[in-house]
Formats: sequence, C-alpha cells, structure tokens
Amino acid sequence: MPARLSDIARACAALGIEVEKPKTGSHWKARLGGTVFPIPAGNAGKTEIPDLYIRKLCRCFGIDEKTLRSLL
Amino acid sequence: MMAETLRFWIVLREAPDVPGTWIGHCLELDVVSQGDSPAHALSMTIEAIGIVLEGDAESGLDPRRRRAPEEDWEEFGALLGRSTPLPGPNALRAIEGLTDHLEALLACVELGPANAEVEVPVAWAARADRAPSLSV
Repeated sequence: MPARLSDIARACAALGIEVEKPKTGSHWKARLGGTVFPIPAGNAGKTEIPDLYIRKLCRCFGIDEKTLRSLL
Repeated sequence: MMAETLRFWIVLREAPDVPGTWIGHCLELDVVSQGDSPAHALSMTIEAIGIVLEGDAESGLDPRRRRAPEEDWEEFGALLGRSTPLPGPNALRAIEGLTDHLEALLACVELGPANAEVEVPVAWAARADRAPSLSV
C-alpha cells in the first residue's frame, strides 16, 4: 500500500533516520550513519510513494518493512 | 565527487499501486525515484543517483555496496531479453503516448564527472499481455 511522503518522513524520524528537506532539487534525503537515500518529492509532503520505493528504503537502512509500516 | 564515467541501468515502470506514476529503479545503486511520465521518472532517478553518489563520497562509503539483489538483476535480464532498442536518445519522449503498451522501459545512463549525463535510453519492452505493433 502506498504512503504519503510526510508519513514516511515521520516514520523514519521515529526510527532514528534523519530526513532533510531539499535546498535544491526534487528529493528529500533520508540519512542514517552516512548512508543517504533520496525520497522523491514532486508534490512535497503530499507525494504518494509506491510500495516498491518503501521496500527499497527499508532494504537500504536494514529496517523491517512491517516495523516501518506500523509507524505510518 | 566521482572522477570517472560510470554506467547505470535504470528500469522504468508504471507503479501498480499509484496510477499515473512511473518508477525508476537504478540497479547498480538499488535507488528508486518516480515521476509522472517515463521521461520525468528517468530525470528524477538520475537526480537521485547524483544525491547517492555525492552522499557516499562525502561519507567515504563505497556505492557498490548498494547493488540491487540478484533477483532484481535476473528480472532485468529477462526484460532486456524481450526488449527492442529505441531508435535514439529522444525516443523516450516520442513514445510517451504509447506507454499503455509497455511493460517497462530500460535506460542505460552514463554519468561523467560532476554527474554530467552522457547517454540515455537504449531499449523498450512490450507488455507480455498485449500485442502492440509500435513503430517509433
């Protein structure tokens, strides 16, 4: 199930992942331990983020997908 | 910032769960972005690649650790095997009106120093459940 970018950002923050809004460009940045994962933000916080993206975000940061989804 | 030219494969597909949204997946970095058309998703994915490479360079991390899992590469190999080359670098925009007939678009992008884009798409793949006769 897709999720709004603003909800993903809130869930990431709850898991200790820093989320930065862009100074330039169209991506927010999720950051943990030096690893950055860009979050597409074509429609700012209202951007609908597909499942595939959520799975890849979880894989990148070694997060259990159910844990992230429980925070959305 | 990288000093050499690097090649990335990007798979572009329509998101099954967000209608009208195209997803770009860069296999070498396992990074995903999205846009409201294949061309938009491709440019967003290239921007995401730049962010990842810059972040890894700043942190002294090897971007090769991000490589997508083998099952993604196997799926990509199968897509590539049933794909037809696009006629030129502007073809992505030319086929935007035909995307209903496409299963996926495959783009090979080479980025030089300062993330300068060198090359764009090389192939498209027809949907398995349709029999389109596309000429682009």
